[in-house]
Formats: sequence, C-alpha cells, structure tokens
Amino acid sequence: MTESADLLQGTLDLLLLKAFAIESMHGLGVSRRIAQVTRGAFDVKPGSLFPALHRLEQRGWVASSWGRSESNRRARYYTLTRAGQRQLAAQTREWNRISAAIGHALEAT
Amino acid sequence: MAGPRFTLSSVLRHFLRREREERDLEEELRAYVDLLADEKVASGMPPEEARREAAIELGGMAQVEEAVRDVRPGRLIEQSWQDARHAVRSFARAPGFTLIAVLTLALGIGATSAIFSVADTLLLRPLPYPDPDRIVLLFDVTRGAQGKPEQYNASSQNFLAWKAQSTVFELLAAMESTYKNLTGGEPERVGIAAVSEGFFDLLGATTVTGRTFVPAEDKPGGPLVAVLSHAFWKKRFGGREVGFPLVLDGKTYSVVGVLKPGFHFMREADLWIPLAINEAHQPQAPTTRYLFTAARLQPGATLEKAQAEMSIIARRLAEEQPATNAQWTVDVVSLRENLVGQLRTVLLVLLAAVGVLLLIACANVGNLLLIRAAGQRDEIAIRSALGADRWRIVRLILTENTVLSLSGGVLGIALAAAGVRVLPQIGPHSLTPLPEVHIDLRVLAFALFVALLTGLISALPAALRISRVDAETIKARSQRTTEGVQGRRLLGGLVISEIALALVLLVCAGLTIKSFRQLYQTPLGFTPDHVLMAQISLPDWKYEKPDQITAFWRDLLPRIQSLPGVVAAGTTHALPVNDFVMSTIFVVDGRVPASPNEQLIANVRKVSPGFFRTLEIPLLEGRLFNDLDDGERPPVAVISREMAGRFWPGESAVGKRFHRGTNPNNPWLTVVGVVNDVYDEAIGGRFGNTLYIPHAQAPKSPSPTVYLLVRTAAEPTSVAGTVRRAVLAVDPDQPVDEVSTVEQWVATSVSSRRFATFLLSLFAGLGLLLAAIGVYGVLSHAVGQRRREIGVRMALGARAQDISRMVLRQGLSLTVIGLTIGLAVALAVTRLFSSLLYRVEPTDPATFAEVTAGLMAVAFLASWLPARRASRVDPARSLKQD
Repeated sequence: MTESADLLQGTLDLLLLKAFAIESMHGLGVSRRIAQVTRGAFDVKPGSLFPALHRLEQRGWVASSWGRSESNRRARYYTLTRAGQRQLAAQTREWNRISAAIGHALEAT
Repeated sequence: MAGPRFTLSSVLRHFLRREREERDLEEELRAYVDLLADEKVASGMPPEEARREAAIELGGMAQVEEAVRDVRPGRLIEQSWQDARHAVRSFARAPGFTLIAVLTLALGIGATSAIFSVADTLLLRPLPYPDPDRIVLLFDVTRGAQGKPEQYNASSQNFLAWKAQSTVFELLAAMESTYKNLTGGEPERVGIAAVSEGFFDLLGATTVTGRTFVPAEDKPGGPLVAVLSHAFWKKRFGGREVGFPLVLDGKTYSVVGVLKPGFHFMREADLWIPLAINEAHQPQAPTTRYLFTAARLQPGATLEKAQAEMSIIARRLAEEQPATNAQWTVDVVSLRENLVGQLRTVLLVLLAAVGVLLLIACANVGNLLLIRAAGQRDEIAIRSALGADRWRIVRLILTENTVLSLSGGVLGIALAAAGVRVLPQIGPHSLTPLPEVHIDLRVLAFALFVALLTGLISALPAALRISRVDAETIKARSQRTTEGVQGRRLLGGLVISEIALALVLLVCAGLTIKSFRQLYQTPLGFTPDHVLMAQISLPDWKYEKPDQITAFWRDLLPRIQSLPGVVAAGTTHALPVNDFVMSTIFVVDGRVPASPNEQLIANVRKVSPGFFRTLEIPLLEGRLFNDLDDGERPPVAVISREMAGRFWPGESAVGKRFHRGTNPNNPWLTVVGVVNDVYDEAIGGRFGNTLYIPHAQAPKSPSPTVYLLVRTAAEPTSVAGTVRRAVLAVDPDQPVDEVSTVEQWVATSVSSRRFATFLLSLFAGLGLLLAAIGVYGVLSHAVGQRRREIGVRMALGARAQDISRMVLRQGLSLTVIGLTIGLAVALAVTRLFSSLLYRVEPTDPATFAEVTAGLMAVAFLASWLPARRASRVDPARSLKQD
C-alpha cells in the first residue's frame, strides 16, 4: 500500500475500526485480519499500519494497552471505544452512500 | 472526518508523556517483529532466518517510528524546536559564516528599527491631546514678499471676529507666547503663555492640583491669576500649595493651579495667564499677528467645511477692514499636519533608504545561505531518505534561518538602542524640541517583525534550491559537480541585485550630499563667524517710555564697543536666516500700482547703526544709519538690493520715499542706503523685500527681545563675561540670556538637512560595504567550486594571468549587469525626491558618473582577491582531489 491519500487513509481507518469492533487485537494481528477479510486485496505494511493505529488512538476511537498474545509475548492491544463505535457506524453509512452514488454514475450512459 | 484533531490537552499530554510514549512505541514495534518471526518459525523457517525476514518486513524501525511520530500532536513544535537546536549547533561549527551573517542582519535590522523608532515618535505617535484629529490651527494668510502664500499667527482683531462669527467649531481659543521677568527672590525670565477662555478645555489639559481659569478671568481688568507648569512648579516653588502670589513684570498674580506634567502646546511655557482681550481692549496693533489660534471641530464638521466657512468669514473681514485685512485670508490646518508636515518627507526618504539597506543585507545573507546550502546537500539527502518530504525540508531551512535572523535581530536592537541614544547629539535642532526617542514595545515588535521577514526572504533562495535534493543526488555526487546551472544563476542573481540596490542608495546619498554642499556654500550675504549673540529683553514695566529704551542702548552700546577684543557691536530684533521676522505693508511714493488691490509686503528689521558692520553686510549705495538718526529726526530706512531693484529699477533708490501701512497719513520714510541681500528665511529661498529702520526711531515693539550682536577679533565666547558686566553696569537687574554665536545659529538652521544627509550617507556606505562583501563571497565560492576546472586548464597550458582574468571577467560581468539595472532604477527613483534637492538635478550626470565609477572600482577590488587566489591554484593538487 502506498503512502496515503486522504481517501485511502479513510478506507484504512474504516477497515481497522471494523476489525476492532469484532475483537481487540495487536498490530500484526489486525493487519492479518484485514488481509484475510478483504481476501488479500489489502496488505497493510507497518509503515502505514502503525501511524494509522496511533492516529485512531489520538482521536479517541481506539484505546491501547499492554497485553499478552497466545504465544505469551507482550504486545500492544487496541480496543474499540464507545466513540469509536459511533465513528464506525457513521463512516459505514458514509461509505455506503458514496459507493451507491458512484455505482449509479458508472451505470449511466 | 469529524472530531478535532489536536486539542490543547492532547498536546500537553503528549509533551508530558513523551519519554514513555517513545519507549512504548519501540517495544510495540519489537513485539511486532517477534510475533512475525514466531509466525514464520511456526511455518517451518529456521529461527535466525525468521528473525531476519521479520526485520526486513518491518521496513526499518527508524522509519516506522518517524511515521508514527508524524501523526502525534505537537509535532510541528517539536520538530521546529529540534531544528532550532540543530541549527545552533551547526552555526557554532561555522563561526566565520555565522558571524558575518549575524552582523549583516544586525546592521540591516538595527538601522531599520532605529529609523522606525524615530518615525514612530515623530509621526505616528498619538498627539498628547484628547481626540487630537479634531484639533485644527487657524492662520492669517497672505501672499508674502516672494509671492507665495505665507501663514502668520492671527491678529487679535481677527481672532475675536472668528470667535464671534464661526459656527463650525466647538471651541476656539488663542495663545500668546511671550516672556516676562519673575521677581521676588532670584529674578528670572520665564516663558509665558497668555491664553483665552476655553484653551485648556480645547487641549484637554488637566491640573494635578488647583484649577484652570474660569471664563470670568479672561476679561480685561479681571483678576490676575496664573497656572503653573508642573516642572516649573517643582523647580521654582518646590511643590508649594496653590494660592500663593508671584510677581511678573511688577504685577502680582495669584497661582490657582498646576498642570499635569508634560503639557505642552506649540511653545514652551512655565506659566499660563489669561489673555484678557476683547473688542474694546486690544493691546496690540491690528496689524500685529501674534496669536496662536486653535480650535476643535464640532462633531460632524469636517476640515473642508471649516475651511470653507472660515474663507467666507475672511472675505467678509477683508471687505470690512481693508486697511488691515485686504489680501488676507484664513487657512485651517489640522494640528497633526502642521506639526509633522515638514518632517514627513525627510523621514520617508530615510525609511526608504534603510529599507533598501535591509534588502541588500537580505541579499547578502541569502548568498551566504545558498553557499552553505551547497554544503548541506548530504545532510538533506539523508533526511529525505528517512522520509522527510519537501515541505519538511523547507521548514528546516526556514527554522534555521529564523534562528539566524532572530540573533541578528537581538544584536540589531542593541545597535539601534545605542544609535538612538546618540541621536540628540547629531540630530536636527528645530524650534520644537526633539521629543525623546527611545526603543519601546512598538519598536521591539517592529524589529521582531522585520527579523522574521528578513529570515524568510533571505532563506527563500536556499530553501527553494535545496528542497530539490533527493536521495539520488547523493549517489551521483562527486567533486566534479559544481553548483549546477540553476544554483549559479541564483547566486549571480543575488549579487546583481545587491549591486543594483547599492548603486541606487549611493546615487541618492551622493545627490543629497551635493545638495547639502551647495546649500552650505551659498553665500549668506553676511559673515556669520566671530559674532557673539545674546538676547536682552527690557521689561515693559521698567522701560515703559520709548526714551527709556533708547537711553539704555545709548548707554550700553558704546560701552560694549569700547571693550577690548570687540570689533563692532549692534542690535536687531530679528536675526537673519530662519528667524521669525516682522513684516509690514508698505506703499511707495509715486508708484503706480500694478493691480488695483496690490499689496506690497516687506520684512522689517529694527537695527542699531552698528548692525551692518557687525554682520559685515556690505553697503552698496548711500549710507548706513548713524547716531543722528533718532526720534527727533526724519524717519529713514535702509533697503535691500532686491527691494531697490524691484521698485526703482535702473535708478538709485537713495532719496526715494515710502510709508508703512496703507494709511496715507503715515509718515514717509526716506531711503538713505541700499545693502546687500540677506536670507530672511531658510537658506536657498528667494530674496524678498527687506527694509531696515533704526531702532532709535521706533524703540517700542510687541516683542521686547533684542538680539545683541558683538563681532570679536578672537573667539566670540571669550567676551561673554565682559559683555554681561557691561550690561549690569547699565542696569543691575537686567539679565542677559541665551548667549551663543551667530555661527551656531546658522548651523542650526541647516541642521535637519545635515542630519538627513549624514544618515543617508551612512546607509549608502554600509550598503556599499555589504555589496562588496557579497561580490567577494560569491566569487570566492565560485573559485572554490571550480578548482578542478582551473587545475585542468592550467594543466592544458593556461597561465596564472589567464585564470585570474577569467575570474575577474566573471566578477565584472556580474557588476556591469548590476550597474545597468541599478542605473535604470536610480534614474526613476531620484525623480521622486527632487523636492529635497537644492540646486542639483535629480539626474545630475556628475554624481551618477562618480558613483558608478566608485562602485565599479570597489567591485573590481572585491573580485581581485578571489582572482588572485584562483591563479595560485596548484594544478597537481586540485586534479588529485577527486
């Protein structure tokens, strides 16, 4: 994934929030989850992943804390917050609206 | 995306927890690598290989950390602070560059701040009166001896008429500026302002104790009351409780109040007393114009409306009182305009000059920074590889230069403060004292602004240039590459603009210097050196009758003339050159008026017979006054050459007659002599009509001050003591004031021009120095860059002379282009201030030629040193240097 234009940044944020809505994960975990869920379309590299995670935390949409992985390693886990839930709902609505509009535009001759 | 990005609390939190955040981040990234490695091991990879692969996939810890840091709040501030600290370290490593850059900036910023400080105090500061833009001054105006309109103070008749008839003013008041002798204790001559009712309200003057006048006190025969200035009250009466009496010219006044410190209007005054005039009681003649008149516009009234109404009133007065007001009208002028009008042009020129100097300084520093930027290429490439974008790098450069320019600014303020302290010594001495100019908050804010702006401007070329560098360049770099065409062009462009600006500045300074020299060399019409000057004011109450006055002088002058070391002595009521001289209407016997309403005006001086000899004013025809020309004998006059030539062309004026005033019953004066012209006003004006009458024939005057002039063989001040003793011998109570020399007086009258010329020359000189440094710097750098090329040339057979000639040519071509542009700009610009030039054309070819040649020579010298260095390059060494 290249350096983010605003659109791509927004998309990544949406994907991350959705992933965290299901369960709390650490950085590697959430990037694997996204790759899996988008069937390999989005392979989020650390150079984009970590700034995005910290940005989401900045905005209060996720909260981070130290936890233990299955392999008993200490890692930083991210959890969706109440505000993050609201943001996820809002961004989902927005995405659906835009994609519907573009869909209409592309259908028209 | 909704939600605020960074709140203040998040920024603060960030700064407080920065340490921990950094550690957390590092640990988080390590955990990522570990987990990734685990994954790989789980799918069968050997542990070391898994670890290596995982690390590569992370992509570089530093880079990821940077990327995360970029999204944190307060990043901008943090980065800028880092940049600043880095800048200080890197400047400390290059002391030569830093010193020159900071000094150059300090010069530019300091000079600009100093001039701004002066301009701010004199032009921009609010006047010390409430709502000052509604205050106007009123003047009686007529066409003067040279045909130009001249403003005079008002006559009492006119003031009273204006007061009665005008509707457009809220308040109208007048002030007479005079002197009286204060007795009772040490006798002292004090400055008095006699003011009409409403004066203090008009100017918002308030008391610190007691009160100002009530309207009932401004009536002839009313109570004698006085208000003191704060400084005088403290100095003379030690802060005494009001209500005490004091004696002025023999009359007793009661002190009713003391004004707040610092109150001042038009003239210095120690005391204020009521003017106390009305239609019936006007102590001065209707032709005596002596009242400063001020008014406050009604709310809603404009200056134009006021002027219109007053012009109508003036016309009415001219019709009703043709004897005194024919050909007179009224000017309504805003107070601010009156006070600053003349200064404005000079100060604007100086501001422009100092602005040009600042630009030259910017160009110089810009040069230095460009050169430095070339050496910074590696560092920039590394940063760029680490992920810094172009904007980030530009920010870096700008921050560095802000550090530089702020340092320059601090030093500059120090220079400005020192300069401003020196100002009173070299500054112009005009009638109103130069208010204290010092550095204050406004000036500091201005200096800060200038420093930041300067930093921005001088950094731009370097910032634009260097932000193009990327990681590729670092690989392709070799010793061989020079600046690159664009870089060279930028450097060259800066130097050219420096030279052009320096030329403009030098031309302006040159023209001003030449103008000033012309002024100073203009023959005055008299010899000012070796003449002592003192003021003697015979108080009214003691010298009431004209005979008493005449007797005093008849006793004193021979005493002074017989003192050792005295060549001649005389008196006059008005000094030549820039002193307030009385004027009079006159009518020539037997002259056919050129127009029906013709009014002839001449300047009048009342002088003793010895006056002409004392000032060495040559007699051209006829005779001078002698002791026989007194009150008993027929009135005589001596006139100036201009006047003689104008009214009696082609014949001798001696024996001709005229009388003063328009009343045909006024006594005729007979011309007995014609003398050379003398400047009445500023040097360099046109000569007007001047007539001299013997003091003995008109001893009483509205202003009792007489200037005693004493020509000495040796230093004039050496006889000051003996002159004083001679005066005391005639009247033991008579003070002798303001002892000085005529030479000083003349110098004072040109002092503001001298000041401006001095400053302008200083700036031009600094500009020249900076431009020379600029040329030298650029060429030195170019030589350094082309070292290898020079080595090759020499190896191929070029001689040392060829090399140095090559460098010289480069320097000269830059100079010539700069000079050409500069000449074009200068020709356009000098036209703008031709009003300040005296007897010098704004396109004076001699000045232009001299300045161009001088600048060329300096540029040549600045090019010669690097040229020599180039010719000394050792080809073997330079070729090895790859």
